[in-house]
Amino acid sequence: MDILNWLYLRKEQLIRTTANNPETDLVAIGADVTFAKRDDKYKTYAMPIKDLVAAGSVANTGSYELDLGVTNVVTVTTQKGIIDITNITYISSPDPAFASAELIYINNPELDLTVANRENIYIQYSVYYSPEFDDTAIPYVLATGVVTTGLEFSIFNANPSVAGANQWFGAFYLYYELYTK
Amino acid sequence: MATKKTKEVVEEVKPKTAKVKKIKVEEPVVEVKKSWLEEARERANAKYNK
Repeated sequence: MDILNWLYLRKEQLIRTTANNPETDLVAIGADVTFAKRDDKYKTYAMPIKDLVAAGSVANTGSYELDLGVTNVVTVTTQKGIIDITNITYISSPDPAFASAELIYINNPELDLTVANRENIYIQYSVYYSPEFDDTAIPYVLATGVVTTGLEFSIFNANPSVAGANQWFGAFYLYYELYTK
Repeated sequence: MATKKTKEVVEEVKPKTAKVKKIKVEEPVVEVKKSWLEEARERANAKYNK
């Protein structure tokens, strides 16, 4: 293994924009393994580029719960996340056939989620809904704004059918990716 | 030589007064309809910001 030397890397034109082989190229990492191992408490190991990127992505994914019986704002701290939306039955609508919407907010206090910064806010989201029996709800989620409490999302019911006895009792998750430039 | 005398006749022309027909014009009532989003925001505020 070469000793890390930036001048050498530049001189030999070893600064690349693509990986030689992301499945086998290694990146050296220092792991915090307590003071018992070494004085600086870091132990060196390596990971292939492919696994390193995936590991970072997993580490940036959080799990949250939004209990609509208590609040409609979920505060997140990670770039990606899984939001378990519970107690949607607490709210009276959304009504069938997009007739009305219910609002939820995703807020990350570390980010500048203001209207002035709207063009620098990146958001992606997708919806999971597994209905209960006698549950006609089909959630449709639309991003509708940047407000003081965070990013606003409107939840509709896309199904025109009359609500069933177990309306909105299904498992409801919202997956998101949120960061600012 | 006979001279024709011209006589100035000033006719007073009374302007015709047009009859003004009074028509009752009802001002249209402009109904401001809230958007579904405004309605949703009001409902959410009422529910969570008591």
